[in-house]
Amino acid sequence: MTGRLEGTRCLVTGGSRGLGRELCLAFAREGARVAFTFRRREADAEDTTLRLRALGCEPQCFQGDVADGAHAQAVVGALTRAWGGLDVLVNNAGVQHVVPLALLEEPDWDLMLNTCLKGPYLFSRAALRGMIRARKGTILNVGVFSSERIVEAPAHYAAAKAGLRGLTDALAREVGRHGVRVNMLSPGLLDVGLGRMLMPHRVEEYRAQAALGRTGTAEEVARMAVFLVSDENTFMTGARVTPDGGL
Amino acid sequence: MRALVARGLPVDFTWCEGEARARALSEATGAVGRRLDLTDRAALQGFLRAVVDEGAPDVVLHCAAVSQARGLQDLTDDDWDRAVEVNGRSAFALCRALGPAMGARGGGDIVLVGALDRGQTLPLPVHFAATQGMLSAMTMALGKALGPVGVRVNMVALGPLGEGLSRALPASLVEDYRAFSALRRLGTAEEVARVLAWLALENTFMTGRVVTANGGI
Repeated sequence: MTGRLEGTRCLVTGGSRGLGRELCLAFAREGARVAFTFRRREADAEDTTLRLRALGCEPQCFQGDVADGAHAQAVVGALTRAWGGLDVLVNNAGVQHVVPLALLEEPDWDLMLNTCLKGPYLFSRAALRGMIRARKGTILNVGVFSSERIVEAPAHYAAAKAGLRGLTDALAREVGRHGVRVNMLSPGLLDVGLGRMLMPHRVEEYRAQAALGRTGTAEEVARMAVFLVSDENTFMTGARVTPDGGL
Repeated sequence: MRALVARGLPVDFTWCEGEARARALSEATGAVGRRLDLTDRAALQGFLRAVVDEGAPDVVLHCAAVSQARGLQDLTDDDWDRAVEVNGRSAFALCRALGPAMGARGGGDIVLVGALDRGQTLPLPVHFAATQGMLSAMTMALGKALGPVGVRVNMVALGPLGEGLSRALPASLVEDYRAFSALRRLGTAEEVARVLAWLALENTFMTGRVVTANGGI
């Protein structure tokens, strides 16, 4: 199936690499107009842009910190001027930082919470005004399996994503009556992101515990996301989708 | 059914009551319908054996369910037994018979259709709620049991629809649902069918999970 997002105006935060990049590519393959943000890695952003162009998509690319309210307003404002609005916001930007809580410094905690929780608040706030006016839109928050259950995972990461889960539930309830759906996609260990940072024995542990006996790929999770943000999905809101291989 | 047929897939289905509807569906879609009473254990076992003999399917959806809009004091043991038999035990028998056979063919997807993920607090008929809890817990264990042979098992917990079992709900409960769900409306069979088709055909990395499609309750 192709063309499932034909003309759909999508913004992915943290889209320069990892799952964010795969989300951009999956959306573009389905005919979406794609914009993404990134914080520091210009070479990765350029690479994502080139890959999107190879799919026939001319992306909009914005550099900035998702925890900066002015940045969020500027990005959404620019897309509104360029595209006339926004149909899909994916709050994907995160921080990969593996350290035990006893060694965690306050700035690291703040960076994690700001990126994974305050960022989605700021971008959702910026995007929602147009979505509510249009009485149509969807927000997909990217969580993590470790906020859903007890596993060995960075505590500040799990805490931030658990907060995002609460934000998803409350926001779904708040804006559903305006025709805006809010869902959460919480993948397990993938071939990108945290999955690349963990010690090999930890990844092996995951494989041993997962019913499917493997870690996932960003591509397969991104394919699942296509349905969640598409117009085919009309009755799921406040839902949690946890592709974790059956952990 | 129609969502799967629309994707060009060959589909068989079972039915128990509503012969006219089953015939109309067969005529409209070309799908083969077979009558099967899920409370008849011998018939179910025979049916499952025949399915395995014919070649295990790639995808199985368990949609059958029964309920009665009765309060706790009015529920009989027979009501309880029938709900457990149709809503729970038949799903267990189906997974036990078809799961390994699907695995032997290279894997597949089983999607159980239910109504609760235990995240909600709703005044539902007690026997029905119990079977839905059974279904969600069974999904978790089935995911673990069949994952190693490449068979994913997930459950979709639906909210009230404008048809089917939801018609038996008290009008006041339906109105409460409309008022309090995020989307402020009931669902339609067509839109939840799209969710089921997505999970059955496009998911490759999720198993043992309950996904809600309930308009936000």
